Amino acid sequence: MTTTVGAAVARDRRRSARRGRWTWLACALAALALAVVAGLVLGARPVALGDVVGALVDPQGGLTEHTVVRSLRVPRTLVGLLAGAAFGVAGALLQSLTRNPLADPGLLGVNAGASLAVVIAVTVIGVAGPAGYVWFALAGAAVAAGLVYAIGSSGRLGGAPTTLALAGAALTAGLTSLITVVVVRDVDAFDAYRFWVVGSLTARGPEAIAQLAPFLAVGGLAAVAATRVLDVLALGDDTARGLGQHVAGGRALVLLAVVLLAGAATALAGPVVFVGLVVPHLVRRAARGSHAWLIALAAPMGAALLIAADVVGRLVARPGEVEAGVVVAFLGGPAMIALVQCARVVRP
Amino acid sequence: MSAATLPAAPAGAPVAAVLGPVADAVRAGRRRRRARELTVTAVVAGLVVAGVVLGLGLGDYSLSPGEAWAALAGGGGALDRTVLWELRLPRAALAVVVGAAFALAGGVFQTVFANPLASPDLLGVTGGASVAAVWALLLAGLTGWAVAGAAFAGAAVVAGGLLALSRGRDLAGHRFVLTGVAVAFMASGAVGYLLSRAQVQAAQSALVWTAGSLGAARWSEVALVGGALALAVPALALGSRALRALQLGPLAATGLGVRVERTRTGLLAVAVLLVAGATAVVGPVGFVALVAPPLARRLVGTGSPALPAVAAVGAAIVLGADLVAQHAIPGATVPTGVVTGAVGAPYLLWLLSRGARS
Amino acid sequence: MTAGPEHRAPSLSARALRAGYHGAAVVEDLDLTLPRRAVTVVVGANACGKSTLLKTLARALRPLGGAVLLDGTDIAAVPSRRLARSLGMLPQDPVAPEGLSVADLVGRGRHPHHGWLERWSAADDAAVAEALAATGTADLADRHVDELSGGQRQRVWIAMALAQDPDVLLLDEPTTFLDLTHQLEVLDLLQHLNRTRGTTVVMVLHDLNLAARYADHLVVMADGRVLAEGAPAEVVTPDVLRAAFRLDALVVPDPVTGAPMVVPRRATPPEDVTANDVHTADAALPGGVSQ
Repeated sequence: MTTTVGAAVARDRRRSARRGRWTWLACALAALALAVVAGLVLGARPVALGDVVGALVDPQGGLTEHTVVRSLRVPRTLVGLLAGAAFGVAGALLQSLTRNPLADPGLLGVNAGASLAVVIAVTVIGVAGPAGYVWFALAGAAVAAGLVYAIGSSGRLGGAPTTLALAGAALTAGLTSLITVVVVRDVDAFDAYRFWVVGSLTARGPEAIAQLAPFLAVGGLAAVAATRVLDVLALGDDTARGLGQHVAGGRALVLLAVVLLAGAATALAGPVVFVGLVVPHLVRRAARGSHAWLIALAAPMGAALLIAADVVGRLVARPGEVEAGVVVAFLGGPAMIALVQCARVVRP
Repeated sequence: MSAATLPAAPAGAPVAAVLGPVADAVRAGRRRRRARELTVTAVVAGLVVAGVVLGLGLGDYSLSPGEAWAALAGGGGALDRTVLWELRLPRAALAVVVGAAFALAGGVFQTVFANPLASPDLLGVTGGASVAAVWALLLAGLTGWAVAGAAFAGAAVVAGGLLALSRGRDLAGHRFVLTGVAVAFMASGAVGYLLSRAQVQAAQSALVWTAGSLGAARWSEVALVGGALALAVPALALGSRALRALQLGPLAATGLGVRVERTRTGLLAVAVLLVAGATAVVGPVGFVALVAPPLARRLVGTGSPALPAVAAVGAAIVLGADLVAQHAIPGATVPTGVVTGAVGAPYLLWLLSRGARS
Repeated sequence: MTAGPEHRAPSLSARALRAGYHGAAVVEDLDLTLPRRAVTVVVGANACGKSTLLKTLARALRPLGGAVLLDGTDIAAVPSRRLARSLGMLPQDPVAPEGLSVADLVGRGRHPHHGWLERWSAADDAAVAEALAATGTADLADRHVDELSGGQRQRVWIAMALAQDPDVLLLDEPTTFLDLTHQLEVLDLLQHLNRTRGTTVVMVLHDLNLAARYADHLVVMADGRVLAEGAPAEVVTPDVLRAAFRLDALVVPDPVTGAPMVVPRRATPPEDVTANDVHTADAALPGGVSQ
């Protein structure tokens, strides 16, 4: 009797959890839809919703509104969607992998790695134009992510949130000095660097989306596979081994997903911090311990956040604009500080 | 504490016979450690002096040691004296005081937070100075002392904010550190934004400021940083015992009677004064605050905060970096902060790969 | 018992104490008086509030309500250095900086005895030597603390507390991570210090049997309150064990010391027990089969 009652209670709990999660997913997707609409409608030149639909469905070359929508707004909103989702998922995976609530690819030096690679590309190799940066950014981000992971799991203090955050800040500072060595002498490199580093959704055009889409796709698949692994690893290495999980191999898979997603997103949108940090915290409660749900919720939330940041950047400084990366830094910083003040993330 | 009240050691050994030699050994050990600290500090300080003298002779207008010595003493040619007294000596002196200031600040931060990576340049303090200075240079069109004042204010505001945000419930200091990291990233975002808006030449020279450079050093600048040191050193001397207790962690320090929050705030305020003063004058010369304290402590090897040795090592690092910055590439001058960064980054990676230990 | 003239044996007590972290109380409305010159051990299940209580007694945590009194005075009002001369604390898992020698560490215990300007005197050297001798660590004086074994390190930290020479010594789980031999070494040392110097010792232990063996006064906590206190023989009973630890156990006299010794039968399923449960009925096993 006790057993059946207990089992029934457990089953009920699981059902209500699943129902709750679907609701949350619906909310996240609604937020994303709202953000996308805002991204297409709002800006220095507001475009009516009817015109937007018209531009997408039946474009007419002569109409300015349609041009604005098709050649400006759609690409940047798409970049925001892909990069934001990728950052959100990468952050969620990294936080679980390092068991550290403050892990964020941007905070941990991935951006600095990408920036250094871009600067080298411009000066040493003479790449011109943002389209060429893409591969270097990806490579630089990948190397930095590997370093980040090594830092995250070394030493007695290594892995504690404070140490990891400081290590990321220090690595960023170090790589930035190396960058400064180069750009302080070379005006062209500096010019390229300063526009790269603010993290904008428009700098890399639609071609970049096509070039990076495969990496994002593979990264996404790896992320989905990684959720299984993370569910088991969350129980501890020894327990995971006991359950038949190959620990090092599983970790490598997760890291691969993080590298591909964070690298491609950085190559696409430039260095963006805080998105990968904040989004997992927003959705973790709703995901209730399942990593599959965690990334399913983190992707639309991250996308919504980045697109929203881009929209805000367009609105606050009309007729000019503030790049999305800067907006995110100014909104994400206080968000991280608020998280820290809540004490939930502080204990190592 | 009289020996008469000594309880028997658990093994029941005769008391007086045990105690005398042990007390002597303790005293001898203490003297040995202090001597070691003094020796290391003296040796490094000697290296600094040697470096200054060496630097006086180097450059496009080279001086032999004899000429340099004569010019110092008041004799020698007028040109010799000008080069020495108006150019090279102020720059060397500035390198020494700035190095000492950054290193001391770093040493205090690292001890107070018991974390070798907690450095004012990573916790947004120098970032705040950079934002204020870049704003002053690019948007407010200020120059000279006004920029320095802005930088000082920027650093002070960030530090004050961090201290205020972590009052009360932050015994281990985690909140301060993590908030500082967030602020550092916000600051670099702001600097990036400002740099991307200005005209490229102006932006590039603003970038040079953010890299940290000793540039055209003047005696007034040396006096400013020297003044900050003169204020800070006695305060740190008074706080050195509390600092030793804080090394054992906040709980043990409380057990020893240290009011951790109050002491921490006081010590950090002194450290911020040093960092803000130095940054206002030369910009954020990175990594000195991070690297000098662990290096000095490893040289001294006694586990004590060893602040005099830390200051000496900091001075040596900046002086050395400045000499390299000026003379390593013939015909070109690199900002000093770039040299410290280029050396500091690999050191940091090595430190991290060994695993950060407190 | 040769108590030093400085050991006035002040009384340490908590009155209506409410304590916890970040505004959330773990310990509620606690009244406790710690007997002078005795060894008191605080035990309880995980998260019952024993560490929080100890830290609040040591003034490492500010009370959310009520007060901790030393000889009738609220400790919050006492200047910290004077308090440290009466009250010392050894935290769980303390850290020492790299390269610190044992003698140097023990010397830091003299901190509360110094004024603003550090004036190290021969008396301080003697205090350090005495502390080293009393803990049997004199031959380790020049070794580095981080090179020592767990048991040696713990003894060295106790030596530091000794050099501080407080009237009351609070220790948070001083025997965690030590093997049994070293646990006994440390506890024997603490008991010896109590008997010879008259230091009031208050410690949190997680091992019930060691607690029963070494305590003059045993305090059992549950859910932030004192469930039972008194001599171990009175306190360690099956009812108390069931209520505080959800443990179904026998209590037999220890063949060596005569102190109560706990022999567990099994853990009681949570649904069958409340904190006020004093019935000795056996718990029903799952499936409805009773013993």
